[in-house]
Amino acid sequence: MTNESRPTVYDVVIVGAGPSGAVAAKRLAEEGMSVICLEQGGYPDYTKLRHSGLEFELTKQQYFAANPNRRRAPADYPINVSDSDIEPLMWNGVGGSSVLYAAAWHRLKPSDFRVRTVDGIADDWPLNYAELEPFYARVENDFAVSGVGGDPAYPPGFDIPLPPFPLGAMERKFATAHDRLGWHWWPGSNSIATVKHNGLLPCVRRGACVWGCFDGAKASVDRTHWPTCLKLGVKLVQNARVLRVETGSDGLATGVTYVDRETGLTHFQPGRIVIVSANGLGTPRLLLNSASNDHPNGLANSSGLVGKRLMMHPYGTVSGLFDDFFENWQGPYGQRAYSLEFAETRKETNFYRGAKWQLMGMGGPLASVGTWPWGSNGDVWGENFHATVQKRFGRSAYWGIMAEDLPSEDNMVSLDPAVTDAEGMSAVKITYKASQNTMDLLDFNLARAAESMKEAGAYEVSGTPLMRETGWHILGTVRMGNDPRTSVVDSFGRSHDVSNLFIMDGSVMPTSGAVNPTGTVTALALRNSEAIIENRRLQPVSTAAEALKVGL
Amino acid sequence: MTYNIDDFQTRIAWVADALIPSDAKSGMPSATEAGVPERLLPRALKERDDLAPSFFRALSRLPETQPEDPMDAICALGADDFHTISFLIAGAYFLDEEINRKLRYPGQEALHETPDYDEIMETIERVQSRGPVYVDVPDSPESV
Repeated sequence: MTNESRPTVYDVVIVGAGPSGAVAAKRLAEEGMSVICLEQGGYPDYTKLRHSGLEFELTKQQYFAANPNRRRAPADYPINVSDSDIEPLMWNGVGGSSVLYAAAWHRLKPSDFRVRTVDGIADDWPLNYAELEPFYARVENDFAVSGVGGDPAYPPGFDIPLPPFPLGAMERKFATAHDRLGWHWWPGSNSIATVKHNGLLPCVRRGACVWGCFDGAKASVDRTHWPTCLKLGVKLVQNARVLRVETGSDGLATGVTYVDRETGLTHFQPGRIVIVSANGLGTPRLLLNSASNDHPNGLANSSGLVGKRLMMHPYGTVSGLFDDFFENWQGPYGQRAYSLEFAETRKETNFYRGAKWQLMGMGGPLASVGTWPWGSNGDVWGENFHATVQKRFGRSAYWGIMAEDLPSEDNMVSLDPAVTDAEGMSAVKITYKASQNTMDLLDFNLARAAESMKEAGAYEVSGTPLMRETGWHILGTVRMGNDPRTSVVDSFGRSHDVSNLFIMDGSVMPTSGAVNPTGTVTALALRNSEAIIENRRLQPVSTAAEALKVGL
Repeated sequence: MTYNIDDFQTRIAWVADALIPSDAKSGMPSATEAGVPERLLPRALKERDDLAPSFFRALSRLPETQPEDPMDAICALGADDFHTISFLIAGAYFLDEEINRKLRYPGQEALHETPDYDEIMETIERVQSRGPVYVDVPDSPESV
């Protein structure tokens, strides 16, 4: 059923209230543009997290589970992962996946923008580190990034706006170990406030980062951006499942069609510009689902690359057991320290590119008999139970190994028409296989991380390559570039095919780098928004009959 | 279908102790000694009411009394059911304050610590002294 009442026309319609959508909404509204954002979920209910009692470990995965196929919340949509080595993780609601991200914060390195030039593989980006640097600095302030500046893994100028967390016994072990090995190591940089900043409170280190931060310290955009957006007049429509981006006979976008998930009514929301920020799965899903007679293969898809080149940062772990008892269960959960020693291509290896290592929290006693980060937990029960808990709880550490993923058109997101979500929109299917380069890269880095563990004093080390439920970073499926034949959007996120359609999320990344992408994704969204503001007088808007009919 | 925990107490007892027996060496109690069946598991099931149906369904596939090899019987349920049962039993066990006191786990505390900036600076200066670890690159032809 369609609601026929004539809706307000907005300058900008944004699909998705996650990090990129929020950054764009805020900046465009600051310049006086009228903005509406359609979000398929609602606000997170942080009262669902039992963060301070002994129930925390038991309950943390209930409401705030990261895998939508397990969580099955009303805003989620089915994802067919039967042909994928990795399962994607996300949060569908206001704040997007920043509600659940670990908040480890990085910039890409200069070489990440130049993979083709440096290594002769994959692609260069249509912009470079220097061009993105000022936008990195601005979003780092907005996202309350804490840590220590001056990391020699980056060019000079990567300053961190907020002070760092204290060093703990775990961090000290690895700092001294890497001194002896001569390897890089750095205190964790996280978009977690250590002092009051931008609506956030100082972190008290409960370690609930990836299950919704009850204490209000982690920079999820429902806290850092949306309050300001609403004050600026941005209209946020929750529980709105966008089905299609519509175009006029002139080929330009006229708005979007969405279903109000609460009423079941279908609406058309007109807009002069459409920005899709629905993540590396949701964005190609929407573009492919927007196929029409004029765009039979999906909207903005003359290159055929919408949905292709999926990258998900294959992830392994190396865990170590130590004799001494030290606090390893408190936060920040995601990144107490990191190493970029092996993040660049090295001449002596049989693979390209590299990995980031992140030293992470271990959790409490219940986590010590779980599968994360230990891999199989089949032998921890019965007579082994107490010995396992004694060995692991408070006496262990692990390196998370985040591998740079290289693009391949065989790895992709496609529509799964056999399955639909509750609103009747086609679900998605992922086809993803880790490459030999990835497996060699992980093998090498797991071996080096085991050396690090032993040097830090671990008496027993174990590794798990390519863990399955680790697809936090969904990248590459709407690639940007200068050539419309080989890319979907230009260097400012504008569709080559539809010049008033912009994509702002991780799907535009031509290569993945080896680090957490939110810093890069949001810096790109800010850069793209500035370009929209600068060019707003010249911005083409649909003048087709369909557009005029709805008041555009 | 609604399940009543009282109908499963015999099964819960042997399953819980098969997964978490007592340990004289560490002085840790078994699951039943800690009060899992009657005191802790009802709390756990109340917290995770989403898992309760699958928990009871899995239990109903096990014999009422302890079989000769109880771990084999639980494992034979399959990975998903084994996970549900073991997660809830262990989750209930670790709700007990005395167990956590013995493990020296205070829960996820709110910590208010001031960093030792001198220590941090001394630490990073050692890393910086080893020099850059990134590759500086020229702009490529595709760069605008």
